[in-house]
Amino acid sequence: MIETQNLSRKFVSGKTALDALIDINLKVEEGELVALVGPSGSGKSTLLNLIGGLDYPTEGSIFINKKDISLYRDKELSAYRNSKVGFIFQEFNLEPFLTVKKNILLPSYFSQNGKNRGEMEKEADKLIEEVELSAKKHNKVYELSGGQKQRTAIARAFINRPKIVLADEPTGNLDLKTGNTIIELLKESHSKHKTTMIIATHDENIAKAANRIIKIKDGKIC
Amino acid sequence: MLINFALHKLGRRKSRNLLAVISIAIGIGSLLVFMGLNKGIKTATFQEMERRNPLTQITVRAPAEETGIIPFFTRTGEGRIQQHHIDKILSIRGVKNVYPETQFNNFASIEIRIFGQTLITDAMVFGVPKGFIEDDIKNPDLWDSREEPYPAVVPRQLLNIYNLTVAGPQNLPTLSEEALIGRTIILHPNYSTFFPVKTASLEEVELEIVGFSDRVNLIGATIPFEIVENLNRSYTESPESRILELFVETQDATQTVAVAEKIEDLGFETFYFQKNVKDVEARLDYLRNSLGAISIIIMAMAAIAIMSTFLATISERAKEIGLFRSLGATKGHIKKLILTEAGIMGITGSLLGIVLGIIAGTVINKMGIEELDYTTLDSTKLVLFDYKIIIYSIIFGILLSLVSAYIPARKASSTAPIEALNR
Repeated sequence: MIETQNLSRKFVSGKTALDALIDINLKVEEGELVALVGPSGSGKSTLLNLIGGLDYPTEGSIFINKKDISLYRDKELSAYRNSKVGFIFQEFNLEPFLTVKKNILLPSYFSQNGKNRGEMEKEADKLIEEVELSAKKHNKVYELSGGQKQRTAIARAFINRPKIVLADEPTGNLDLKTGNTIIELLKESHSKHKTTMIIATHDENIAKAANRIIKIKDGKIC
Repeated sequence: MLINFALHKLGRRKSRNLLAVISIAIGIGSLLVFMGLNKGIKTATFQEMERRNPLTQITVRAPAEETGIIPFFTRTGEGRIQQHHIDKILSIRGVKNVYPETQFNNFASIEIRIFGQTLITDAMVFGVPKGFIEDDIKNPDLWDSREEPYPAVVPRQLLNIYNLTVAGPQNLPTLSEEALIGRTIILHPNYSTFFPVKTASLEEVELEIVGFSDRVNLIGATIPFEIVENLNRSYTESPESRILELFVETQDATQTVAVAEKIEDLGFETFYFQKNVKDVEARLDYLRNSLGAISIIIMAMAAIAIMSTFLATISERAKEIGLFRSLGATKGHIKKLILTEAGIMGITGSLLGIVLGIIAGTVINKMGIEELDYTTLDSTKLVLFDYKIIIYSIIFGILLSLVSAYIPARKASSTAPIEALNR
């Protein structure tokens, strides 16, 4: 379902050029839970950003269900990000002064899935229950702990029922125990919603939770 | 959702946004006052003009090149208005009445005793029939009097000029029409304070002020037509009284222009309100343009304040915008969000500006009362507001805010999502 062909990304700054990704060819089947493992600076985040439509490749193609998203225009990419992809960031990237529920509903405000407000709110309530934040759903995000914030982010990633969920170092800002809880939650969500999930991590232990491990180093698949 | 979110965001940076709202308010308030001032002055000017030149009145004169610039000196009959001209004009369809104005053929002076002082000044003496003046005097039958003191009507404008330019600055008592009606003034025919001719004798003719008018000649006193004819016969070497000009009254205002054109076809010059309006409007446009230019400068400053507020805001909110884009917001969504915030600020600023403008206009009107009390301008309405001016101001305020925020909105929406997220 996800396939990259000769995918490269080069960052140029003045006279300096950095090859973040070099000729990446990979396939991820539908429903797989893949761990993308590599040290810091290996290109994990860049690869996730490209698959997630947050960035354009310098060379190569990215096929999502046989459609090359590297050719998408901005509006198409926005629609792709909204309906097909869910993001979970290391730094949570939540709106601190909105409530848990409103943060979860944010992607739905930009979608054109035809669902009305009432349906989306029910959906949000279900997800809040799944991530065990019912008691906190009306709390502002800045009042939450790190683990609770990441749960909120996980629920937000699933609100539009995406086919792909991309998690970039989801436990990077959490302690060990909380991190393990989050990984378990991700596994559960993956299983329940039958999404294709790619988790970028430098932690081999977290990678063991996945069906498959893809190793990346210096911008190349190992 | 958009409005709620925009309100939430505006509330996060209260003091900065408040400054932008205040700048809009000041801009809109100023615009409102200037538009109201323009309207008020225009209305007052046209009301004043209409008082002096009613819509149904046409002043008719012989062409200046035929009578000489000052008809006073014309001794021949050429080019002068004569009875057969009056008959022709009366026969024009739409003419209701024709009132001739004549004048005393020599110099004259008027003497009045006031505040214990005797004032004497050169003046012209004009004569009009009763029909022309009867609306301006309480007791029109007085105009039939053929015994001294003869009735006299004084130009209202002279009273205003005295009150405004003499009484006020020199702390003298102002004069009201009521105080002067019934007052006796002395006419000295053939006597001039300026010119040395015919100063040997000081004849006296008693006049009594019976009214004030906006329509009579400004440079002297107006008395009954027949009295002027008598004065010319008694005191001058040119006993024949010449018709200086005609006041033609039309049946109704819609016929004035057509009647005037027909009179012009007879070879006369005409003066009437509708003809003067365009000229006055052109002069008032200068006032409007000047006030408009000041408004534009104030608006430009408000626009800069709004733009800089939003540029600073979007710079701080780059990460948030990146987040929205990563969640699927299009460029259009981002622009809409920023412009919604701008629109809310525009509405708030405009409404506040309307309040400020109305307060300022009220204060100006109150302050204006003292200065305008001596004039015939309606002193309570120097600044005039109507619903159109208020609506235009609100719309303008909203548009100003939206236009000013457009560039920041565009900038916000065009930043690449990943670039924004990584800030």
